[in-house]
Amino acid sequence: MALIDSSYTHRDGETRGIGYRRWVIAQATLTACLKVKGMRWVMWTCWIYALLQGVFLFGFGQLMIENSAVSNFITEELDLFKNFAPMFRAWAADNPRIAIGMTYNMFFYLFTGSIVSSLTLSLVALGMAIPRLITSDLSSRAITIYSSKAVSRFDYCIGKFAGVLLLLTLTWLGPTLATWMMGNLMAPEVSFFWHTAPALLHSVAFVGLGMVILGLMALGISAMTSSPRTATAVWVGLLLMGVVLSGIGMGSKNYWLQYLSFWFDLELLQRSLFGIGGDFKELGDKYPGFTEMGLIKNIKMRLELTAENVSAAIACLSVLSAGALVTLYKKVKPE
Amino acid sequence: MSGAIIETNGVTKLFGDFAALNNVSLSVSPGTIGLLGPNGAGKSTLIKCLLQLHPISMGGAKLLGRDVGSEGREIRTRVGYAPEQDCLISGMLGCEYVTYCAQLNGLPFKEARQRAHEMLDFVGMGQERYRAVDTYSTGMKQRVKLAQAIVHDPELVFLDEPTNGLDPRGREQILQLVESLWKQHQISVILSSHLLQDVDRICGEIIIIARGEVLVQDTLKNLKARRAGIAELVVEGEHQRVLEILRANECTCELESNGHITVRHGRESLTPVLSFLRNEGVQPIEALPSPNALEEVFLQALSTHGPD
Repeated sequence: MALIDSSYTHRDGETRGIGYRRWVIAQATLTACLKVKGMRWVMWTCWIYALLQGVFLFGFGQLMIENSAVSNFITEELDLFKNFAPMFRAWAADNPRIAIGMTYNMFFYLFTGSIVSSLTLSLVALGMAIPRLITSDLSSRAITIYSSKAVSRFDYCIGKFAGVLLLLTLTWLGPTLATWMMGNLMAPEVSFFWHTAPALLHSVAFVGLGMVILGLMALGISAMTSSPRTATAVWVGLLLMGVVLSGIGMGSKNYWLQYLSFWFDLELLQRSLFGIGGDFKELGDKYPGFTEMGLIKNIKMRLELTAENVSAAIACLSVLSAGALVTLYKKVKPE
Repeated sequence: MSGAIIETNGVTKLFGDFAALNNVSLSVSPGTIGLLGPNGAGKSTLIKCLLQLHPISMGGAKLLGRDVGSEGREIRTRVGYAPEQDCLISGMLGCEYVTYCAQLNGLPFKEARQRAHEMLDFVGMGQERYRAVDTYSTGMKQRVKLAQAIVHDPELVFLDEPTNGLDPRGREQILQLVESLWKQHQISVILSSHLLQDVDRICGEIIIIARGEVLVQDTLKNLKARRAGIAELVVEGEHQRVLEILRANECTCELESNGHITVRHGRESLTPVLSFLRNEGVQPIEALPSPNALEEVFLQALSTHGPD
């Protein structure tokens, strides 16, 4: 009797194109990343953080509506803020660009890129995911299997990159969009959307660029080594080195050291995209003296930006991205 | 399929100054082809060059009638490959892994999943398919590698040392499966191995490669014919009588330690020998024409072209 069940059948179905195969790699990459211990906690934290911000912005929007539950609560229950809601509504009616637009812009500036932000959580998520991106395929030699299938090295890298973008969408872009939508839920009028839209556009532009840059860097580091620990160590080292150099460079003669921190470079890029300097200028023009007050003045000075600052940051981020691409080209190949 | 499945023209692969393949020219017809050679001969390198896992340094090659250099992706949709080393994706279950490999070849998810289970049945994987591949034994890994190589129904499969590390029963099962691929399903197989008995068992054509050069390419039948004139007989009892009959008929023969009789009869066919034995009332239990022919051809080819 034969030892095998010879039930092989030939197939006659459709064969999907290269876009599908890249998508399959992206899905598998995301699935592998989500299996990392602790990743779901990071993910939940991102979304809970977004929910809290969304609730705050929802309350802010409801403040604009007379007799809304939020307005009534503030007026009736909080004596200290009894006159706040009517005053704020009146101010917003006269200066919607500043009261709504600028508030949203500053809020999303902080939400997408400050130290306590979804960017920080995304950096943590990337650190956890890096060993599962390319490193594990190098160590298990699975790269040979990919190369023997109908996908090229380029297709593999595109699929992996899309997988990282999906991960960052879950930790960064998704929460940002959700926060904006919650803030605009039951908005007082259509014009509210128009005043908050620039903040959304700035956020999407910054988060989109940030995702591409961080995605490339994560893939580059993941492709550097077949050791998961080394890959994680390089990522953490790069982050810590950036923080230290940024601290040393701040306010010193060697201010250029700050540009060696990709986090600092991203922040400059973000400041430029959000036009924070322009917002402060407009605020100063409208309310002379306001921006010269101690704390506000201090913040304004720290957020000032020149074209050279932005160019240097873009140059440094470009070098890092190019380095990541070269690493991918050199390292992603079968033995 | 008719026509050559593999055509190479002066394929050379250099690693620095070292030529892992040196001016390899081949034309291989569909069937089960054994790629034989000692370790480090260049067998795996040849397969990797044909699959574009390593770029070819010089020369050109066609697989299934398509140019390897310019139509690699199209070729790989029609070709399967089970590498020698472990190359499983850590963290995946066996069935997930084979499904994923099918999807990488363009199968829609539902069909990929269905075929993955069919192929896992085909290679004899039971409930182990629901375990993480990291926990698999060598035999399971070999089966899963074979399943992923054929899940997309290729026309040609490259199997690099598929019986390495298997116990006799597992080895027999894998060889039966591989044999059935061509005989029952018309999927050509290139079986790379240093185990002569595996190749002898299932291959119709042999390519012997050493030091990056093709030493021999011929059908197994022709190779055995080169060693015609030698046979091995298995008889029950009466060994001395059989030896006397054979010697009386101008054959040189000797009794081996395992009880078999090696006969050097010098004829094209074994039929006359069997005929005069039958006339004397002797009926061998088994008669093996050209025993160990492949081993002898292999050793001769290596010695003619210098040791590896």
